[in-house]
Amino acid sequence: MGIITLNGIEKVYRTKEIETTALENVNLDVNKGEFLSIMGPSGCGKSTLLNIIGLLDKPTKGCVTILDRDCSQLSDRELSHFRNANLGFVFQSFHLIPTLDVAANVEIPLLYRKGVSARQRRERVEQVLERLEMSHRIHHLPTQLSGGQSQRVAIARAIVGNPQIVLADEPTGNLDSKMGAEVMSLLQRLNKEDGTTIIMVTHNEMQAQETDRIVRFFDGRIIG
Amino acid sequence: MKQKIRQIINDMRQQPLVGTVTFIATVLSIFLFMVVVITSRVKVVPFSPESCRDRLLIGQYIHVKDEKGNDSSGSMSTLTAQKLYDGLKGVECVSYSQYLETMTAAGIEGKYFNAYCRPTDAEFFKVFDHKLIAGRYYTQEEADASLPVVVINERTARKAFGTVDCLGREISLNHKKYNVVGVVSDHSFLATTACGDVFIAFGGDKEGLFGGTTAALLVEEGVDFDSVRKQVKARYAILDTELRPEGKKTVYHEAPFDQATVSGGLRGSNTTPDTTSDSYVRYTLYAILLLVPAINLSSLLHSRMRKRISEIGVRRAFGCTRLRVITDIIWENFLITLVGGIVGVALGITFALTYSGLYEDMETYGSGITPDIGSVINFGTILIAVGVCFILNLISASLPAWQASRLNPVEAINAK
Amino acid sequence: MKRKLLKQMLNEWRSNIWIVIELVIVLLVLQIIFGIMYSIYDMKQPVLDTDIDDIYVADVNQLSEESEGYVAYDSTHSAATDLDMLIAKLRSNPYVEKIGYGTGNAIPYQYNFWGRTISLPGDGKKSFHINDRGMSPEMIEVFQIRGIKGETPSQLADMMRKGYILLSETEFSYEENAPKAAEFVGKDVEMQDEPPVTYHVGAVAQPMRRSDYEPLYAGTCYEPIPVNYAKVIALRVKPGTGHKFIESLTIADQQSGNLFLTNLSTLSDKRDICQMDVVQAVRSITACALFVLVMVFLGFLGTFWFRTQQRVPEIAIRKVNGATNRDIYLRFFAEGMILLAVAVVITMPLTIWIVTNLAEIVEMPFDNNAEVAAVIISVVVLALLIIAGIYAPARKAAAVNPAEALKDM
Repeated sequence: MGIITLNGIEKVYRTKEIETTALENVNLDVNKGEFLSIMGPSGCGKSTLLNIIGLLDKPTKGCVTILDRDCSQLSDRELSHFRNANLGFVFQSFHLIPTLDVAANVEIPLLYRKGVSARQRRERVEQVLERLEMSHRIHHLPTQLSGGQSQRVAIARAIVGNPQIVLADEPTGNLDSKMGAEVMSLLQRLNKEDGTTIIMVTHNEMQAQETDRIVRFFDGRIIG
Repeated sequence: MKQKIRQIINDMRQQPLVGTVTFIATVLSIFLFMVVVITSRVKVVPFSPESCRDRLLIGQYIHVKDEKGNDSSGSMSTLTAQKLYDGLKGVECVSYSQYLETMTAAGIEGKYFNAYCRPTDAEFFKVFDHKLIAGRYYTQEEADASLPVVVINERTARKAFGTVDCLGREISLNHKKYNVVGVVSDHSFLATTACGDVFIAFGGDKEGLFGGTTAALLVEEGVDFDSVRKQVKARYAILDTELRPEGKKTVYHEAPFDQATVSGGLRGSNTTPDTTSDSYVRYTLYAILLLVPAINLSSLLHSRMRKRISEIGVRRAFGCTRLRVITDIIWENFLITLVGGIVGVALGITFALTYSGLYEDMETYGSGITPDIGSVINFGTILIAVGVCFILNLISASLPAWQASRLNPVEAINAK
Repeated sequence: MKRKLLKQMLNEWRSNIWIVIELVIVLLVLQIIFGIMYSIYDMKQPVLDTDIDDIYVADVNQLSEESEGYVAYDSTHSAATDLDMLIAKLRSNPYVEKIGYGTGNAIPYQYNFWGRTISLPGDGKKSFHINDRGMSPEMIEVFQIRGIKGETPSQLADMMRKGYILLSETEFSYEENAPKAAEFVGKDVEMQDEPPVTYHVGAVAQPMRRSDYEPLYAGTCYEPIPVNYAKVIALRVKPGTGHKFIESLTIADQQSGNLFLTNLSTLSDKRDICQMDVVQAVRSITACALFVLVMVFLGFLGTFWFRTQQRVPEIAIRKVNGATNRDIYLRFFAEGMILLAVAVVITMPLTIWIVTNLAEIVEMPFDNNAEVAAVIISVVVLALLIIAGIYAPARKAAAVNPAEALKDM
């Protein structure tokens, strides 16, 4: 049994006029410590899948089990706590909060965790930024950072709470190839050193090749 | 907390116009609310010389009907007032004084000026706490004999003698000479029952039903006003038996009245004062003063939140619960409201303490603002101010916060 | 294009609904406030048809017997002779033009009312309500009261010297088919008293109101009185010599025998004190009106500023497709006006209720036009403010550079 198990996942979007099937009978097992990449053309449903794994979205049908918990029965509040404890997110366009400085951005997951004092938070944030070599930017605002730096801060935010799983939605999509490579090696390091399970959506075949396993997607279905 | 404040400042910096508009709207509404609260509280909050307001009852009018049904009503003579209000149980002391009267005054300088004079008995100074700065008050014997002695306030002393040091000197009021036995400090004429430039020893008008007397009752600590009213009502019945030979009967209008009723205006001598319609108008005013800016701020906050949808999505992804979204937004907004509120309160207090145009009595008597009104700004007023900020915030922030919490995280993250 | 605008507004209903709710409340508040202000303004009418800055009034007081300088009255010396002397003294002042005396009810700007009725002898049914203002004939000249048929103040004063009374018409009748003052002119009438007194009515004269903000509840009656009834004096100085008059006046000039004057002031000062409550009320509701208007302005400024930001791409595309700056402006203003129109429609039932009941709500006698005027004024003022609030955002929108804006997309 893997760390994440998707069983018969189906996702249908309904509007008044049309019905769109984004995912159709998706079954997937992810092992603990695996670095998995999901590939496929635009609109094939890979982001939807990532959102469902990230418990940000609910499948129309099917069962998501993460860390041996059936997540389809959890309340919104329980989902929030679960995400906070076990999941980290990295987005294509970073999504750093423009009005907060680097430290405050990284700190966010710890804010929603009980029993972490301000001092502990600060220490943890400093520690993570140190590791990602961003300590010198700790009090900068996101607008003062380059793309690569921004994504490093975003990764710091994703791992600050020590999640077992990190979900990355095209983390290199907005970066040039040099910076992209940097981010990739960072993710590799997390995966190797910490044993963090990483699921990454990407368009980049070369980057995908660096991962443990590639899942190919087409029209809402896994094709390989 | 520090982070929160820094974020608010950054947010304001990135949205200077909307930030400014929000701030001004908050300041303005709290300012106006404070002015309204202060000007209405000044009428009921105790301050020298009416520190006794919480224990004060006032009897002013008498209303009688004859057999033909003709009404006559007006102020009481001292005789009537004493029949109704002397020696009531639970009343510490009672004073009989007359209306303020403008008199032509002159001191040693020979220059004439107008002075607002109030003939009173000696008990007056027991009921009201004027601050004696020189000499003494007149005695009950002096008052009973209507001896020509007066207690004057500072500004009258300076006008008449050029100095406060004027004990034993003569002041002429309406061309009659009086001896100054005491000087009290200047006070605000917002103390409508106790104020005056000159207090004249006066034994009262001891004949007839009508006159110009006001009875001020200092009720003992802890005594219920209604128990006093009950006794007064019984006195009316006794007065009725006295009036029966003349074919007259009194009409009782729930006298004596507390400070809140008196300050709301008694609306004539022949009616029972109605405080409910007054408070109805006041509460409507409060509601409008709060609701209009609240809607405004709410709509502004709604717009501000739209800029931050993505932020909310990210926070939700990292484990922020819906409830936390709501409380965070309300809390953040409360900080903004509080800062605006502090500025508004400061402006409101400054304005209310410096602009005498707010108070009809001050303009009429030119008494100016004296520090005693400052006592209005006490813990209670501050509490009201903070409460108002909080209510304003709650009304304006609740809905946008709730809406923000219902956002779908996926859509929120990717919103522009 | 109009339909598309409406559709777009519907899509933004969440934020529009707040604006409409605010407009509804503000409209109602403004309607009441403007109703009150309009009727106060509409009712405002000076008590006298003359410049009151040149009129001085004072109270007549008598020394008490224990006062220094009190001289006991006897057969040759009375309060009446004292007052004659006092008046003669003031009349000799070079700046004084006319001087007279009257009862406490002889001057305006005080809320006395001596209600009496007059009727034709033998015809008690037809009675005319009056506010009796007893005064010496000279007072007519001091106050420059004229006759309705063009009689001069001095002609009217001459009538009073003959013992005639003068009447004014009223603006408010307690009874249906109440007679007009004109019906009594030239006739002998009975004035209510015990027993009734008979007077000859000399003419219909201009009324004397109690204050600037009150209708005439009864006709004014100018009744000649003997000097010993005098409680006040009034005098008129030569135009523009008020300050010289006051400076020239000594305290001795204000005293004669046992009588002395107090509260000497111009009638305009007396007015200011008397009408302080009205001024205060007007001041308060003006502040309240300004407050809600500023709020509306800020609300539109803030909300539309946001919309401009939100719509930069849309505006850019419009511009690329040939929209002029004027089109962009008009679109924003049209949006504001539509919101106002929606608010007006929603408030309509309440507005109608206010229009029919405003007089009772605020306990003021209302002119029929006041309420309608209030509604119109509220809408116009709000429209202007909305335009003012939208102006800056609309300008910003019009300044959008399409090339820049679309680059980011």
